[in-house]
Amino acid sequence: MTDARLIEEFLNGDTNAFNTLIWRWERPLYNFVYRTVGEKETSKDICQIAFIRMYKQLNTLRDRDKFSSWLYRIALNLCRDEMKKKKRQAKTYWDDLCSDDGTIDTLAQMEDQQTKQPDDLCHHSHISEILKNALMVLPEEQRIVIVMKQYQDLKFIEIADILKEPVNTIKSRLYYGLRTLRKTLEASQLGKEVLLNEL
Amino acid sequence: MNCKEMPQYLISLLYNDVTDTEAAEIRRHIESCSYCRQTFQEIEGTSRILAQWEDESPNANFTFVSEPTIGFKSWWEWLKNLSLGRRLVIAIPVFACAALVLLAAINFRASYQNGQWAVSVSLIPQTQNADQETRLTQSLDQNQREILTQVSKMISESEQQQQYNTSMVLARFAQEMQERRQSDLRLVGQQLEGLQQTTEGRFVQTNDVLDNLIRFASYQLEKE
Repeated sequence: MTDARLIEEFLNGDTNAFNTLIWRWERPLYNFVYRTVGEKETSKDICQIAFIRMYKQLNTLRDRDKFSSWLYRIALNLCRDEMKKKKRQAKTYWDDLCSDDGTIDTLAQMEDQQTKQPDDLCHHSHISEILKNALMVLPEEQRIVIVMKQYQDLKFIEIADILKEPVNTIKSRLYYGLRTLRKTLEASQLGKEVLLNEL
Repeated sequence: MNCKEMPQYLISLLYNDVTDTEAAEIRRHIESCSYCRQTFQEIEGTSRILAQWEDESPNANFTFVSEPTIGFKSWWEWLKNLSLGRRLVIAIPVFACAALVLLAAINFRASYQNGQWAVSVSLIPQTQNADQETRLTQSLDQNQREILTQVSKMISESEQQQQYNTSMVLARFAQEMQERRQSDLRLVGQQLEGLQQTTEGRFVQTNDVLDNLIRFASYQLEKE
């Protein structure tokens, strides 16, 4: 059954149709949010809020065939809000503690911070953790495009529709995002190991 | 096609967003331009590395609308979204129940006797065999009851016989003891009679000796 059909049934009073929509979308949406914001618990919260918004606003969706783009847009807006909040908190924190600007802009710096915590060593060595850290140091817009294309396997036209940007801009961001990601991995010890394994 | 336009074309080629003609044209450029070739290899490799980060399960329940009934399709969706472990936890008991129902439906029978397994399957319920089994069981029960009665009877008879034998042995023993006592008494009486006679004889002898002494004394006195 298509999403459009499930939406129609939900709007006709079938609550099971809504739960089916959630069961169908919770995994892709969670992974999208997690790869964008980088924290599991925050991602779960964002997904929950996104589903609540979906419940409240589903009747306003005109083109039901574009449901996935609509849902991704809701989640993306929540992710952006969360990242803005994080940036503000990080800025305040570093302003208090450091004399310089204090921003973490390389994976190596992030690794240095994490290797100080012995409990995280095992977890840190995991490839997904390395890739997550590498993605986290990318500019936000590049990261979003990479996640949408690489992991969510959305079409360029869909990504352009969600981000309200031209397709060429999306492709360009993806290109520079992938190159920056490669450089980030090359600049760190663990990243180099990942690249060597890939070769 | 020049190197300035290549970022978008390389991405289009990487994610297969080009027509065959465009793909061939981009590949021709890559073959002729070492910079673009290397760049394409880099982004292709990075994409492959990124693909190693697999999707994770959210491990959370996002459903919040109450569900009065769950239809087959919802169940199917729900099952599809479960992890493999949870699917197994549900599937194993369900299949076990289904297997039991199936075995019952085909009247599956299995028995083990003298080191051999006997398995039978039938679409028709085996009622005759069941009756025979019931009758056989009843007959076995009756036989067991009879054997128990016989055994208890034999035990009581044996006890009575034992009591009789014991009383007979005791009576014989008492008779023997009585006879021995009588013979002992007789022997004691005889001995006492013998002793009495001996004592009387000695009394007579003592009396005679005393008479002779008296007579001798009287004679001496007279003589003096």
